[in-house]
Amino acid sequence: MLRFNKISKNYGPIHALKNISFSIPENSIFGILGANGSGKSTFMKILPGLIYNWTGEIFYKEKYIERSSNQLKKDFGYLIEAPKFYEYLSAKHNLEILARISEVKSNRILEVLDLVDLSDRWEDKVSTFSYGMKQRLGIAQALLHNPSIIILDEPNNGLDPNGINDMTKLIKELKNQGKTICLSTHNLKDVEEVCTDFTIFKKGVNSKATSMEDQLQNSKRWLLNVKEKEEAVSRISDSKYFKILSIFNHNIIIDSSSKSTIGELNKLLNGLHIYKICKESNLIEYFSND
Amino acid sequence: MISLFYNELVKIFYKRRTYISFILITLLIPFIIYAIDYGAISLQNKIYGQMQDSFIFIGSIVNGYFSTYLIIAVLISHMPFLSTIVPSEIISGEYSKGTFRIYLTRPISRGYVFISKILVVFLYTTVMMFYFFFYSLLVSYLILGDGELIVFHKGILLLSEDDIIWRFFLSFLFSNFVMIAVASLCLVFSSFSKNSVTPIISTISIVFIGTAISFIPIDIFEIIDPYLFTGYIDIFLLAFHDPLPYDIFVNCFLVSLSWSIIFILVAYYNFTHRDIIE
Repeated sequence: MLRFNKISKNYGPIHALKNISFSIPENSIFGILGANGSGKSTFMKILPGLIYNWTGEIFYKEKYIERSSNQLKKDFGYLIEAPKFYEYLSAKHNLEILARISEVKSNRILEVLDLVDLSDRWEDKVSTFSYGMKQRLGIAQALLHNPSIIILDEPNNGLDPNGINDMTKLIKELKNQGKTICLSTHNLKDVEEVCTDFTIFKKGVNSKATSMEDQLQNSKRWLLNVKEKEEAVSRISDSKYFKILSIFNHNIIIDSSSKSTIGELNKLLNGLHIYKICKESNLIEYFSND
Repeated sequence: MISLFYNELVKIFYKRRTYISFILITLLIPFIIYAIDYGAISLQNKIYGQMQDSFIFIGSIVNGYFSTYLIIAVLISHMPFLSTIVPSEIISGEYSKGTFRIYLTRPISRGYVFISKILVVFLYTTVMMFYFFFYSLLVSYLILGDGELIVFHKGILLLSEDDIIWRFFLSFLFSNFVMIAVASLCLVFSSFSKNSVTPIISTISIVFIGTAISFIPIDIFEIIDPYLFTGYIDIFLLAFHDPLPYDIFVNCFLVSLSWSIIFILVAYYNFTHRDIIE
């Protein structure tokens, strides 16, 4: 649906982005994972034209898109970094300003504020809002013109656990509505929990985009929750196919050789009370080694 | 475009700093007028000076028109400061507060956003200048009444009542051209800056230097002065000359227009090509 080809951006002698290339499939939740300073936010700012000087090509629905084209704004909703509003205006006035230039009818304002649970505060000045409320208002403005692609830069930043939970639900809900979401984050859990596809940014270079399904299939990690922990640890340690990576309470994370299967693991743990056994994402390895 | 312009109006209407210049003018001018009224006799004697030996003066020259003329003469050199209040923040404020990160992600071109901002700056400057001139005139008239206006140009020039109002309109018009050039200069600094103080300081510094050039009688300064908009800040005085120096008014218009265009183009290029990373 959206394809980037050799996107590069320099800040003087610093290469912020070097030949970034990947595609975002339609109706996916695409994660851009990277440490702070890896180039995620710079990349996110290229799409809406906030960053003007860059090289490369963007294709949307297989059509080449001109630099800072309005096409990348009409069909897209953006939340870039922490949302900053006109603090001296109310939430309603802020959204009215944006609705006016997006040619959106004013009744849509209440709809999106309802969606992010801010409709009871719409007359209040943004300066009285907490960080989490501003973040929700940021989501509301991104959804105002009912875009088909939503770009979220670090959407969970600064949110409390409830806020993160609500954000995760909202993102999944948007996907269910048929929208495509691209989010950047430095948090592995965000990607593991919500993303269907991802790429990793490191020092301005990106890894090959991968689906979470493929990633999980290729993972050799297992999460094991077993009643007889010591016995399980002893048996696994003696096995030549499995290696213990970490133990926490009754959870054991193990790494398996390429030949080992769940059958062999079951055979190894025969007679023990296994509460849970499942494939574990090895995103951390991607993140560290890529 | 209309929506963008309307948005900019909403933004400045709800900002307190927009009203600073209007509040200052509103409070300061009646105070000066009352001071003129209170010291009218002393002021009159100073103006008459030795002329009292040669002429017989009937009535008072201190009236609403004279008071307005005096107020404008005293305060016009401070108007560049007031005219920078809105343009200093209109771009830099959005950079520094990060609001462009939301506003410029909408389906609008940066060029149109810039045009809407500059239109609002011009409107603000014009309304402020109009308010300054005609609020002074109205309050002066209400407190001191009307009469003939005495000005000093190649001796004493006495302007009759029906020959005055249009001259205030003319002086407002040309003073406004100069202030628009000042506001445009401020907009250039606003487009480069990340805070609203730097554009004010930079603009006022340039106006100060330009004004100094007008007053220092050095050949090179006298050659360049007609080409600087700062040399026309007191152009309003010429509207009360007889005959009117049309050539200077034309120069004032062309010089102010030329500088305004240069400033706008620089600010436009910078605004439309700048990376918004804040």
